[in-house]
Amino acid sequence: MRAVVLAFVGLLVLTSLTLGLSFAPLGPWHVPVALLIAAAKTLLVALVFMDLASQRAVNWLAILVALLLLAVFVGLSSLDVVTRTLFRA
Amino acid sequence: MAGALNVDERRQATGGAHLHEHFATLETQTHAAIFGTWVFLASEVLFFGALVTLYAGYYVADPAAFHAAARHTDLVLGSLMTYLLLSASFLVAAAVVAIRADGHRFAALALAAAALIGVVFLALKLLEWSDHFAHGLYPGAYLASEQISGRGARAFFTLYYVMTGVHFLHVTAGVVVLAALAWLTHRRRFDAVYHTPLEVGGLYWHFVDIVWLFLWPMFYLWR
Repeated sequence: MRAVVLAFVGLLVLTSLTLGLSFAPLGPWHVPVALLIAAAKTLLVALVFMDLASQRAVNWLAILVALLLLAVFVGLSSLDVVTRTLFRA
Repeated sequence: MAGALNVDERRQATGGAHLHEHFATLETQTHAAIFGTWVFLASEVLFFGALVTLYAGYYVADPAAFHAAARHTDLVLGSLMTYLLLSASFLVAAAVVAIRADGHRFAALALAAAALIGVVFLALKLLEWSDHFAHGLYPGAYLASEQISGRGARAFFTLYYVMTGVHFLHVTAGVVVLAALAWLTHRRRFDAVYHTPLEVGGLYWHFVDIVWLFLWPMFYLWR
């Protein structure tokens, strides 16, 4: 139970941090900072709330494969859009 | 074989009435359920991922427009909803920990409270959308706001309504699941030996929470 409570406190802190940083003058860093903190929160939820830390490795496999595919989809699709102006044929 | 356990003795040793015939032990059965749930969640990751891909594509095409459009969502409401969902997830996780120690009463209460928080989330979302409509912030070609317009803004708001709308449906399903689990827990259907449906329902709810953890920065935090 203590792990769950600590994780919850951590999530509240990280959420408040995200909120606070969104008002800071970070310029182009707002997006990666917010997404990185969101990823950290996701890890907390997954490892503690969803108990992934104490589950079998094969359960990790399902999520890792999905994340890998997602990275490919998002990455390559964005690459296509971003390079449209750069490499106009 | 003379020394082998018969079916009844085996069931006795491995979880009683909860063990289904095609599983050797309760542990195997539980693992199958949990692994199956993770595979389902992986498919859901890709489902939302398709929408995230769209968002990423339109975002890199016109980042300034997305940042401008994000100023028109309600940061206070959005942040409140983030805190609410995190609290509900905490309650669900606490319920699972409790039931592992035969704590029915606490688990049932925690699940019911989480379901209630889910209902509050849904109500706030509807309130939010009706407020958007009052300011002319409709999806797609119907965007008719005095303050923002253009392709980027239309893309942003279309994605906003689709993604938060789909998430809304997921939260609704989650609330129904949590309420059912709360009721079953109250009726003593689960205990330390068997509480797999609770774990499965919990996994789903945490996933829905994780999706919102990304929707929040994507639609509320850029400025």
